[in-house]
Amino acid sequence: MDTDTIEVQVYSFDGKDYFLIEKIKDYLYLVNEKDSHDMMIRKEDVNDPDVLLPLDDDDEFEQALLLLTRKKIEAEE
Amino acid sequence: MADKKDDDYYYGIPDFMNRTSTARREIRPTPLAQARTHSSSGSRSRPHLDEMEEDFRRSRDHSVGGEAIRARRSTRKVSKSWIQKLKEKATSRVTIAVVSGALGIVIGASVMGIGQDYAINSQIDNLPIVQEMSQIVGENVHRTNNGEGYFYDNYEIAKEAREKIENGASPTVVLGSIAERMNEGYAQDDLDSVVNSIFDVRVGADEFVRQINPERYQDGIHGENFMNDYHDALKAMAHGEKVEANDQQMRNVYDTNHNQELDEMISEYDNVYTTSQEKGMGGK
Repeated sequence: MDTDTIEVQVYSFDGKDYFLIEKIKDYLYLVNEKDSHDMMIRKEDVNDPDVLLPLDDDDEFEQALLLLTRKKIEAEE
Repeated sequence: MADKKDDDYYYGIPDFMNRTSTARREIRPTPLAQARTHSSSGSRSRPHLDEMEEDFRRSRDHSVGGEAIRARRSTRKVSKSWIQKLKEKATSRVTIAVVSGALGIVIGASVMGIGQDYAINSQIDNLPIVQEMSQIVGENVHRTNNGEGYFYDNYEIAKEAREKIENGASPTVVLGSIAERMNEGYAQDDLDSVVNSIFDVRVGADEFVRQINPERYQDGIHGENFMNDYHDALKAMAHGEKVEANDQQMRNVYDTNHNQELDEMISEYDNVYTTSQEKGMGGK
């Protein structure tokens, strides 16, 4: 494998490809290949890896966002 | 402790007032030059607040509730730098919003990495000082007049933090919670300004904690040791225990510097008053 390339997981739905840019616990952080503003957080279905489960509520969304933030801060330190 | 280098804050203020932090407080609006402005250059760009809110709202709408999505999974080889840029663009806006508190999100104990225990994390999150400090920083992030970016109101943050300390809050907890939100990657200069103002020093946040504990805080305010002590302080408070850390040393600096300022003002007043009295009694 070319050292300048990396293999990434892609989830295709609604006619778009979403790249998995991060996974923390069972949260999947996906971003549209063609639009960096189009980002979402979903949960992995342990019984079916092709299924992306929605988050339960705003609290869970904020919690997932905070986990991402913390990881980003740690990576920059 | 204070570094006596020149300070360009002191313009148009009488000399005796320049020696006091009261003068600095009076003329310390946050200048637009310090405002975070949008830039297209690199990963340190500061997104427009509207864009931040829009991205946050869109991400939230696509993430919460609704139906499960059945996707087709595959893998693809991509350039490392390209995926890194995509990741940075996608995440920087929302994480800046979180770190700055601009969107009112409280950084809870579980994210601080204090522990895996839900009960203690919940207790920490419910500590009044945790919620109050989150509010202090979050409510003092403002948009610039031209709407291009956002900035911290360092004066207000420092003022409210001082009030907390004066009312008995742990300096370690106050400093730690501000430092946790004013991340070194985005807001180190704001953090330095706030710490200098709280403690009436001119050394910046990292050097201040180093001077408090040279052995332990070599890596500064965002270093592992200070952050661990801050988290331990929160755990102690959640358990109803006394906060140790270096609270007493920090409080000594606070009291010394703020009492010194008061002493100088009183001394200056005495000099002026005594001179006036002597003249009134026929002195030349």
